[in-house]
Amino acid sequence: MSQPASRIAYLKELASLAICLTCLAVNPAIAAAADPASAPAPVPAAPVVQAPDAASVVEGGAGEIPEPDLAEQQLSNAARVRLDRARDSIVQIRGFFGDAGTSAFHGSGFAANADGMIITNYHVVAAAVLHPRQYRLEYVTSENLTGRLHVYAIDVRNDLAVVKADELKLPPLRLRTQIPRQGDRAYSIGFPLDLGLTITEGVANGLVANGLDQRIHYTGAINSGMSGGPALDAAGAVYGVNASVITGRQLVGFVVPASHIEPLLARARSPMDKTLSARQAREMVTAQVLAYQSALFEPAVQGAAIQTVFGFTLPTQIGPAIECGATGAGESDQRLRTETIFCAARARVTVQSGLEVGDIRFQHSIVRTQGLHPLQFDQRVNSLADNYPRSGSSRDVADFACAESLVSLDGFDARVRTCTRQYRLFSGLYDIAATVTSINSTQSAVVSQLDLRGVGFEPGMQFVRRYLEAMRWTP
Amino acid sequence: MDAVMLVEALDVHGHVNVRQRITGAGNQCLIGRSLSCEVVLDDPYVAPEHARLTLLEDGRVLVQDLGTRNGTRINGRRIDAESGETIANGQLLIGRTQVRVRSLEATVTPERMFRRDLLRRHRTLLAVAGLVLCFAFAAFTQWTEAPEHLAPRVLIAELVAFSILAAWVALWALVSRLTVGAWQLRIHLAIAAACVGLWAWGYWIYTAAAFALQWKLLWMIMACMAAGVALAAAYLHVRNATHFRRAVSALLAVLAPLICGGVWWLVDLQLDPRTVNHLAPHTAIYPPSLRLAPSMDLNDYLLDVAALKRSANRNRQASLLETPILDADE
Repeated sequence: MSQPASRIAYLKELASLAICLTCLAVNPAIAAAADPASAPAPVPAAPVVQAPDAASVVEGGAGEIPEPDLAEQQLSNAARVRLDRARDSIVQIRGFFGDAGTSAFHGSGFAANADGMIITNYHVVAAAVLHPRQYRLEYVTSENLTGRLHVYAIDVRNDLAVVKADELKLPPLRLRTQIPRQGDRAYSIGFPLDLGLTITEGVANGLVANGLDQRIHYTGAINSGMSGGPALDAAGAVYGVNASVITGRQLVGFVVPASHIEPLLARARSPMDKTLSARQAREMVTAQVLAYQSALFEPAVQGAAIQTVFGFTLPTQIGPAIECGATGAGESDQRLRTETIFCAARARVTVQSGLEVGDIRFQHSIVRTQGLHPLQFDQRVNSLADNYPRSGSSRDVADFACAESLVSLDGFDARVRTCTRQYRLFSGLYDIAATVTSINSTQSAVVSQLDLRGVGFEPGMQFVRRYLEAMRWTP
Repeated sequence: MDAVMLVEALDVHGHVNVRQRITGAGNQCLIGRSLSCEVVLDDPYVAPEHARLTLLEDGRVLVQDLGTRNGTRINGRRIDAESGETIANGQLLIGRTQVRVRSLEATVTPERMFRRDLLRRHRTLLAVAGLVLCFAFAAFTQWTEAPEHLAPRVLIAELVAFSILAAWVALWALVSRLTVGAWQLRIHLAIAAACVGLWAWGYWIYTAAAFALQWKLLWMIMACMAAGVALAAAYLHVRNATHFRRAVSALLAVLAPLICGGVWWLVDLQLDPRTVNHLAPHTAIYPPSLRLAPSMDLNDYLLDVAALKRSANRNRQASLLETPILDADE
């Protein structure tokens, strides 16, 4: 209930983030403005000014990172040096549908080790992973060399993928696993909007607070097509991978920390399209999503999980990453007062272009009347329960199946409808939607809407149980 | 009584154009285009002197064709030009003109009774009652919405209800006027208003009963009753606005709602496509004092919910059959 305005803004921004990722994956050219992209990676060595040794770069206290002389120079020179050093290590990754000669999507990638492994975003190559017989991947180097790429490993949760071309060996960029200090100068490189290799300069702002996933907040331009490109620190070391931006805002980008790269490289053994069928690849993606979600559905620390309004005790922060906000509004005729509590977990991951799963969202609308007849009040409550927007595409999900009944909850009876639908491509993922409407009072009521997007059926149902059991009414 | 025959030439609509009454056995009636004939037909397929009708002693009529090329037919059968044919009554086809012949020997059916059913006897009362039901429902729905300014909303709702009813009744009244010659406004108003009123309040009662009883099959009973009312309305409209017999009226009553319903369904699909996000409205809630059925235990409900997995799987299979996915190797 506290800090409503900031909470709302925050949750809305999360929504924008999803849109951004979607655009990129569907059509990198369109998504360019909103999504991270890949770009050539800078060579780790220090340029004009001596670069700090990677081992000496430590997160934390001031003075631990030697300030490179680059900071004293003009910005344009510093960026140019970083770009020149990284140019040969960066490729543009293009995806083609069938035998088409023009690309269906593109992103960026950079060499991460001496074996020729290239790091990019999972969402850049998702189409080729999920539809290996329909899409092929190719690289374009800074010297305009092209060739076929194969996906070797994926990390759906962290939006990373390892790709490799048999004949391509690029000089690897140096990785830095420490998180840059807030305010450190940083660069992002990639191929925004297919406009050619581009570097942008900005500031790293540390890890995003309260996130279930590790993302570094980068204040600088990241555009669609730069997905998978390297994010460099002042010394030219890769501290992360361009991942996403928030559309409609200014220079709010997110970078996946480089600490996730090494474990993924260790898993990259053979090309997935030669060792896994399309179904097995989808099952792998599903398994990664479900493993990730197991943490998401853990009960929260006791104490902050409920909120009481008008006698209704309602679940709020019942998961580790759930953030809540609230608004209160009296309607214009003053006969109805509504308090709304909305909660969401920032847990979405992109499993294919335009499709993000793992969201937990719920909203409690508590209404109280003074002067409305019970029939009028119930009509308002009915409208409130039925007018809840849901999103989803028939490309991604099948139809809902629902069960509705009057159910005894703690201290009150409620009409509960639970609906679920399965994902078409990922048979282990479901959307689960529950609506709870209290029916005991003619003066006050709660309408609670729960939305779980792309979760496992059993863990999702366990969450629904926990959600319903947390509700209580004390007249 | 002397022998009598009545000869009537009909127009294409079956109305009598020419009527000739002949009395006395042995008297004849000549039919043709010639002005010397007793019955003159303005039909180019009729000979100047086409057929001769002779009133016989026994009261019957001898029909003779006068050697024409097109011949003469009785009840669809061509008669022999030499011998002719004797009839008590019948329908002659001369050229393209129907000629009806009747004699005293023909059987006369008893009078047809006026239809004085419940609807006709109480049409005014039913029309008023139906209108009251409709207008009351329109006002009631606005009241339950609890708008800030109730009066204008009620007025608009009443006007809308009145306009729809007026258009519907006017349509059927026009059909009545064209087919049976009378507007029958009150009858069609009674049918329409009573049925719509029953429908509206019946639906409201159904939603309240669905909440009170929580009986899953209640909607089937309601659907049957609603269909019954719709069929009755269509049947009564057709029966009163046309000369169709009961069977034909009933058939039309079945077909008309099916066709109208199908068209409406298609239009509705266009207006509100049933996407994967479509969910039927909840069972409406009402004040707790109306509730009769007990609530389920949460554990029992969650068992029902767990069973949804199978339904969701079925929906997915149906979706994959309808629109296969790329690389569908499952």
